[in-house]
Amino acid sequence: MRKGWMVLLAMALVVALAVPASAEMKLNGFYRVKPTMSNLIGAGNISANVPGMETAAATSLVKESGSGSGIDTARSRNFTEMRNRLRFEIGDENVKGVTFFELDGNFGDTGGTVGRNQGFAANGDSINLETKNAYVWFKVPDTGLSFTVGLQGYLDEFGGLLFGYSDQAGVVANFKLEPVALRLTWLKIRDNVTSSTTADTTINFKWSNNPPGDSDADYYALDAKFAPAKDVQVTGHFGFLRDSGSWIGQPTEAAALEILKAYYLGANATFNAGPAKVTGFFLYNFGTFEDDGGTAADVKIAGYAARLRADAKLGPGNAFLEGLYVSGDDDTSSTTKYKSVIVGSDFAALTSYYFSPDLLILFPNLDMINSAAALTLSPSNSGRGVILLAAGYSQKFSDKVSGKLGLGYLAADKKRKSSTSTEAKGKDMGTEINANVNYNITKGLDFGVYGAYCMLGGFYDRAAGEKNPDDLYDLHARLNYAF
Amino acid sequence: MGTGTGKQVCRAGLAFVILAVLSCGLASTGVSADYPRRVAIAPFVSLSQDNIASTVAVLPRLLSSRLMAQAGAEVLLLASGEKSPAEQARGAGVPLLIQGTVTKLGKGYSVDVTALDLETGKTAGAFFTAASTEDEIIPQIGFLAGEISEKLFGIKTAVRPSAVQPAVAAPAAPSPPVSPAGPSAGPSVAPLAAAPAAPSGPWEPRSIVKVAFSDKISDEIFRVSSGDVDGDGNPEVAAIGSRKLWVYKVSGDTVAPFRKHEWNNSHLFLSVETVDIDGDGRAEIVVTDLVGDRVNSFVLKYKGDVLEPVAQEIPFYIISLEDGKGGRRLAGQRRGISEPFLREITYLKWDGKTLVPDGDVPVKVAAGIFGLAAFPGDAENRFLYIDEDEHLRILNPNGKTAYKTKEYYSGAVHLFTWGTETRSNIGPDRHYIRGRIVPVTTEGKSPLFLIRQSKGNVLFRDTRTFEWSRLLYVSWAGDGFAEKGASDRIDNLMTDFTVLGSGRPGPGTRVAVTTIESNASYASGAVSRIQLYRMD
Repeated sequence: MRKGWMVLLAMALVVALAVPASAEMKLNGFYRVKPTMSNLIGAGNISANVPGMETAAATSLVKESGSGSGIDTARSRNFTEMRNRLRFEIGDENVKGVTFFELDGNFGDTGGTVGRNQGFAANGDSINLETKNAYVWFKVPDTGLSFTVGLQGYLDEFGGLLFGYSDQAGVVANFKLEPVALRLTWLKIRDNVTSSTTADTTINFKWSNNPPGDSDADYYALDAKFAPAKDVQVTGHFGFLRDSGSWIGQPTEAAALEILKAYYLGANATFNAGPAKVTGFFLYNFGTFEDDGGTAADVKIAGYAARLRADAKLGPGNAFLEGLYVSGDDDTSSTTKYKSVIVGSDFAALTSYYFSPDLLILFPNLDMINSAAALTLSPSNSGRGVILLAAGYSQKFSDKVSGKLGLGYLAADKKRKSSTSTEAKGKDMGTEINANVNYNITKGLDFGVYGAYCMLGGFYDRAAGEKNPDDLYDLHARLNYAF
Repeated sequence: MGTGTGKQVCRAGLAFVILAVLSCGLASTGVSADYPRRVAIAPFVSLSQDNIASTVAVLPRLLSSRLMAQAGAEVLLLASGEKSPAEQARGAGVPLLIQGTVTKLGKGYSVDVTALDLETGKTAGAFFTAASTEDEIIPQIGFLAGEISEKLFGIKTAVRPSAVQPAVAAPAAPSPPVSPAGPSAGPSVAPLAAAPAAPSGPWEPRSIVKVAFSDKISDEIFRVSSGDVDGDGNPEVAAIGSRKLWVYKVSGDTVAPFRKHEWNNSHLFLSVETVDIDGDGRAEIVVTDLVGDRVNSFVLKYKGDVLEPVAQEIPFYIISLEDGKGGRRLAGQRRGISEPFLREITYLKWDGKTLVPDGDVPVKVAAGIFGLAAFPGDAENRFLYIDEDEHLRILNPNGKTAYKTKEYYSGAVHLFTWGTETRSNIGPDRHYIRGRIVPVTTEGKSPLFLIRQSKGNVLFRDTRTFEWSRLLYVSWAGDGFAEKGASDRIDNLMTDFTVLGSGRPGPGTRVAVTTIESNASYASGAVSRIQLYRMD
């Protein structure tokens, strides 16, 4: 760790000296340590959304896994994670290069080895630097046009439903033509560098036997934002996703089909209504799964999602109320239609990241490090869709102390039975209550204690003769130094 | 586990306990007492043959305000009555009782104060100060309050005036008037620099020297403005922390507490301006306030003896802007739906009830109105601007940069955040409230500006650590800025400044500068002061 830091610092200083006099260099980042105790511990990036009636899988919630599969909810585990982010920015107001690194791992994981998400065991000395972003941003002189080119964090217009600040390579052009602001996006999600068969899980650069253009995935989008009144802003969206290879979240209905053509049509709006700021969106997803050169019938996509959220000052604090609906598909045996939404996490884990409800167990949370686990990390909920209601109230108690109380309810829109015997007993997935208290030690340095308890719903009830999983809890602290 | 191991564990535990005790001991070093900050003050007794009763009568009130200001103490002023002061204080549940006397010996006065621990009946502390004239008694109360704050409440104070001021070349500070609702005199410091010689020929400021400073302010003051709030002819200085407003009165070289107001935790102040918006001859205090995610600026007016809100929920970030013609007007910028600042800026006027738009300011800025100033007398109607990186720019009316300094004029520490932490950033966007650039042009001279400069860490800019600060005159030479003079560098951070008085500055014009003491203890909280500088 120390060596890595010294190398980075030396690099920063060299670059700082090398950049032109007119350019500037900034280095921002944070150090975060998060000790956790919980009974929802998976291997990381876990969506525990396997219905209780199904045969237990690795991500199923079970009472006691014994020698079988599943997350053992009867047992509490504790561990301490750490994350360090360093963001270098070089340039001026006309052109900037950004490189964003991350180091993270679990205290005691491994040391002296090569690989991401580790290196916090005895003697450190691992090669574990991850590159989150590497892009250049620039303006075209005397125009309202700017480009971001490279590996960048990308947020869609739907709160992270499709791309939740996920790191994607591509080109994003922004063009301001008052009163409209346009955003044109091209993201290269995959170009034949990941496996096209489920059996081959290696990640190799395989152009030698599978040239570029085969088995790739691209996302194109146009967003148009304008403000019809000073307190109203509306954004229209059209997106197209084409994938010519298989991918992790391919629904059962279309398992034999190779080509995905997904279209997205939507709009979001934000406006001030009295003391409240209201924001909402509607997204319709249509398209087809097609057989590449074969004769299998197309599977049509027809999913939609909607969100409504209100933020307002309430007494001495701030409150919010939020609802999210993502349509689900009830029957995997139907081979003509898929009624849920194709989201980013269907391509890569955590590409979608819907974090605004600020829940610790039901949905993804920004405090998650490598142990990321939630009932539903992907808002399509494996094709079942979601109904999510969340509320929160936060308040400063003093100049140094603040706190928050949150509530959430999550249900699957559909049980999505694959057979009568595997149908979940219920749609209710869980109800969460959470709270946190944060203390600002000094500028940039904060310490917080977070807790959440989730009462599981009937969705997770096991078959007769099996014990139902225990309710879930999460307790963690967070020491964070941001600079 | 064997016996040996058990002993080792015992030893380790013992070592830990010793270490913890030592740590606690070290941590408490420097805190000499820890009485609750609640105190009762009995009427002072005059032991003088002279008729100084009116001065003596007001001393408890003066001591009270200083203890409140310096130590954040809750103070109960006791009245003369049938019950003894101790009985009154006990009845009110106050743990400490302060009693004082004023004695005249020869030509000098001695003010002696004792603090009684009402629970034990023992003396908690004894304090004294001396004054050579009756006029000097009032300033010395600040010294006493500092001593009491330090010894009884553990609120450490830095350099305080000596009990008896040495003779200095500058004229003695006049005693400021006493407000019925609170003291207006305070613990100012004797002048540090002699008054300048009268200039010969056209005046152009070349130096700026510190002449006095206020008592400690237990807050992180980051913005200041001045004007005659109470209409008595002396300027008041309105300084803000995150949610506190501190009003000080400036009389000569005296900077004394006048009013203090505190809002609840849901407020975040961003800026303060002191302008006579309704033309009644008194300046109103205009505070830019962020409540939740809304800009809810408000206006305070001095009525009777109190500052009252006369307009609220004004949806503009507000600054006082040189209008390019020698006058100043309020200007505002709105917050957008998806951005912290809309680009357009509008002048604001008072319509009798609130501040309303009054025409566009001919410049647009996307990074916020703070740090903007008109360029007086500029043929191209350009503006000066301290940008978000704290470079000084000259902006064309379309908002495009005509010139940008390589030098930083940094020192901003106060901020508000926009957005949230995401997976792709290192936290919410931080928007710092930059400093001011103030034209101090005199007739017939080329433009000259006063600006604050601090030397900060360039690479790790958001750590907001600074080596030194100073005030600086710069002039525009047509192809760049040139330094024309500066104050001495100080270790503490200058956060803002305001030129006192109306009209163009001249020789002897005072500048109030807010500073944060960077050497304040990590754990004891922020300490600020208002420093008084003089243009020479």
